[in-house]
Amino acid sequence: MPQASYVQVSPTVQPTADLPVKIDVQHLNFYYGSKQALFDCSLPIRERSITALIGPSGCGKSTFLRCLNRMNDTIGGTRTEGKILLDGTNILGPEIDVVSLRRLVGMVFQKPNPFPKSIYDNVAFGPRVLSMKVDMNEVVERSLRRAALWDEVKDKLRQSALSLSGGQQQRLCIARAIAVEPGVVLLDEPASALDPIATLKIEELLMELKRDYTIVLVTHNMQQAARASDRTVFFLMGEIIEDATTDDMFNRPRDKRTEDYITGRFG
Amino acid sequence: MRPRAHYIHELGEVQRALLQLSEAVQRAIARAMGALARNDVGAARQIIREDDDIDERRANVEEQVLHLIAGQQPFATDLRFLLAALRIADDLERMGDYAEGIAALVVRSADEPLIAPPVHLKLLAEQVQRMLQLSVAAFVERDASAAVRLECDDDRADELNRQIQASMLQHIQAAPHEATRALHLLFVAHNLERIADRAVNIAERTAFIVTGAQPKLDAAG
Repeated sequence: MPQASYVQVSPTVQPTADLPVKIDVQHLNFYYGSKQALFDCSLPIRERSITALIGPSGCGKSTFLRCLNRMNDTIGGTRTEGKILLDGTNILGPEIDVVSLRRLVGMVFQKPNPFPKSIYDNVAFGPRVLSMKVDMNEVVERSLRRAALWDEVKDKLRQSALSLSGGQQQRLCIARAIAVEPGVVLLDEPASALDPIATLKIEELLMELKRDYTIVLVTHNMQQAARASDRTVFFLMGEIIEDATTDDMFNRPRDKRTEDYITGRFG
Repeated sequence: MRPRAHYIHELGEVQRALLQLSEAVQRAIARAMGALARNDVGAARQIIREDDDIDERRANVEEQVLHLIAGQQPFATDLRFLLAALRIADDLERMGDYAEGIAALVVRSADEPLIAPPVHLKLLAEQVQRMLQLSVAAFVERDASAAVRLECDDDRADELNRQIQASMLQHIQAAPHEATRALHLLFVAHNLERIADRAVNIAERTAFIVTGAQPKLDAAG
């Protein structure tokens, strides 16, 4: 009679373990003044994949995200310890030009924030400011196509970006971010202000974009993290509790705190 | 207020429905073997009629699980429990079918000459009913290790079934006029052996709930 043994079987292959590390966060501590917000966070973020950061409000996931392009520098009194290696270079070094960094590591925010300019000028803004030697029409079209917005706006590029719907504005913001050819795109709850259809379009877009970009996504929506990401990282009280393939995170988490959070037993 | 209190209650309802289904199946098996021992056609017909109740209970479990998966988007242990609940409900319903099959054989054998059932048949029935009780207890207690023990029990059930087969084949050769009832007893043993297999399945589903690991049958042994 055959004997049964038990093995971990993952029904979908997650290739992220074989991908090179794009951002290597090592022993990151972060302080708002005297208050420590991140505690010894270490995390390899693999290129051309989607990493979702989840956790309860105030757990540090957005703080962590903003460390990846030093957006926290804009907040007075903050201090960062540890290393964040982007393609092997520590972005926390004093010699780093944060403007150049934020070109390489773009960001899209929760509330769509198009400039009060035309659709065309929104996308062209970054390349113009950076004096990129490019064919601007080609850059604008390519960025809008990649953001799955071209067909909807190609006949009205000179119209104000503010005339677009919320979902379209957010895709415009994504087009704006990728127009400067970053390697990484950070998104902080990019769909939380959008309706369900627009949300699903954003998620589909991210899954297309990950072929070319490394994507890190903060979300409060666990179903979104489960649908749209390759790896998921659970934060709690400033610490990384668990980092796993999304399949493992939502089907068989290792840590009880993770299990309690994703099954809603928290609190 | 406890988060998701209503959802947790509904998960508990699925578990309760499964336990009630398992009790109905255990009664059906015991009563089918009793009808066989007494050659009680009336009792056998009752078991056949009551199999509809078992089928309905299985369908209700499925409805509850679908409702929770669609409405609550469960994850982790909750999701594994609900998937396992669907499969366990199927296993129990099939056990009910096997019990109904035994009852049907009692009805079909009604006019055949009586023969003494092989002693191993009573042992097999007891072994199988014990395995079902153990598998359900393992599910209630979320005992991931029970599957391995039940696999050993299943080996014993398989051996008893083989002995019954040998015994009945000898009987058929020695008394051909009693072949029909002897064959029916072979089928009864077959049904009991299949119930044992399903009891092992229930234990394996329980291990899946606890560990998230799918059972992998080893070709050796």
